[in-house]
Amino acid sequence: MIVDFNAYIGRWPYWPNRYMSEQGLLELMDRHDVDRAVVTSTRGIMIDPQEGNHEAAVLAGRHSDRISWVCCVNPCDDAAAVVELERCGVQAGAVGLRLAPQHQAWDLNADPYIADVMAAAQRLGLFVLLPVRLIMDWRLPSMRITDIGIFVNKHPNCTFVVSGVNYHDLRLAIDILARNPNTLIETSCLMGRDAIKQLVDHIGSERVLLGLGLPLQSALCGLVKVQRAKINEKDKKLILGVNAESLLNRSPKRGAKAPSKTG
Amino acid sequence: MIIDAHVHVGSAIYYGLPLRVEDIIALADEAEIERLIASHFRAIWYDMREGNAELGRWIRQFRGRLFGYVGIHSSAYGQLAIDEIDRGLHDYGMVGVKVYTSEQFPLYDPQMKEIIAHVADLGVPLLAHTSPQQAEPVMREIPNVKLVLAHMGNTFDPGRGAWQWAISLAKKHANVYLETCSSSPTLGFIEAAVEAIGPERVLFGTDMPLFDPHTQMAKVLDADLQVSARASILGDNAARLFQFDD
Repeated sequence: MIVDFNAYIGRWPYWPNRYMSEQGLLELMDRHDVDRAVVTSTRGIMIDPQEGNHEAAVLAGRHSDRISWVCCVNPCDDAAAVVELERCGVQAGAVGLRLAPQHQAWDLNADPYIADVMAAAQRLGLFVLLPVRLIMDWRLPSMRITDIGIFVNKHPNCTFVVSGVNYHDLRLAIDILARNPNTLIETSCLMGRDAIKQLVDHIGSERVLLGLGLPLQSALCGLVKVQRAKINEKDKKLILGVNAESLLNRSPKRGAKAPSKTG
Repeated sequence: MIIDAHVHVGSAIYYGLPLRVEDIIALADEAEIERLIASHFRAIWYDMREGNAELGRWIRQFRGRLFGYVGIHSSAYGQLAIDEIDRGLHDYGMVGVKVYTSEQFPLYDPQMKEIIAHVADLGVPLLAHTSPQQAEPVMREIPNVKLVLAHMGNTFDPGRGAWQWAISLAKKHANVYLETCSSSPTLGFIEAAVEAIGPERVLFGTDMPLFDPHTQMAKVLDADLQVSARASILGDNAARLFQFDD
């Protein structure tokens, strides 16, 4: 069982990527024996949450056996953000919520409406994905791992997935996970030697999720990182997919048929 | 033969990096990397004479397996740096020069350009941790230097990872080589380089011990390339550039 917990659909505005489509994503998943991808729409992150959520929900609806989706809302939309989140979580089958303040120009720890969004996420049983960056490219907008730590501490009853961590942030990410048992981490941007082993040594394997960054990053690179890590086979299986399946099974719905977009 | 054109030895103060040279050789064994071309952390960041001397001893110890770049930690050392390059190449048998730049200490500063001109006259490759933005004016002024652009421009500092710019630079300058290791496993960046300049000037590197050799090699193995192009990148190009004639 292999699950990519940090996959994307939509346009990639920064440079051309010929796999950034439904067919391309599925082709790469097939090529590398990836059973499931947990997808967010870049459209939802960068342009329009509703449009992006619709795009991701439609994809998951067509491939419910292979695709789960994470919705995106913008707290700057105030009450409409919660309405959209409830629509995604209750009707449209989203398994989690991705926050993207670095792409939407709001402050993770100071936005006046984020508490309402978080309360709704908790009520709906959605995990919250907090990305330092989308994929590992130094030019992309990023969020400070220290801000993520402060935010996680404020919401002890939510389940978080810290995403996009690289070597600059790893020690602090490990500290956040050590202090917050409700927090997991995905591996797509971890490129330091022995990073996976460090995670397992410090926080155990049960809260580490494979992230590949499909279709934007090399799947082989992301897989080898775990498969060649100096950890035992049981831990590898947990990281490659078992932990993700367990988290997805705790989510309220999986792969529900996409509803029509609402205004 | 697989050749790693970007390796570090010695101890670094951050990232928990210290590894014995024997451990790095063992990592290379696991990844079936036959030759490593390394610089010493101390030489590029703190004391060139100490670092290069220690690397020189290790090159003797691992003859035929470990090769060296003469490390220079600051262009402001001027003639001392040039003398150190000559010593490293002559006394320690090193095969290239390594420099590390930042926004504050750029590749294009006047003293660095004097050093680079000297390296160009010697005809040995210069591995530069720099950005294509910094390399561009240098290549205009010193087009005969064999410049290996470390990380293919995917650097945090300087430059913030402009690999597309690195490819453009290599397209314009026949003596620019692109080395593949970095934090970025971006799908398609090696194919983009090969499409633009051919496979002959793309070099495999790992940046051990910062990165894992298997993950860095996976980027090349996962790239949509012809078998011959992959072989060129993994070793043939470096063998030619560094004149490994055996």
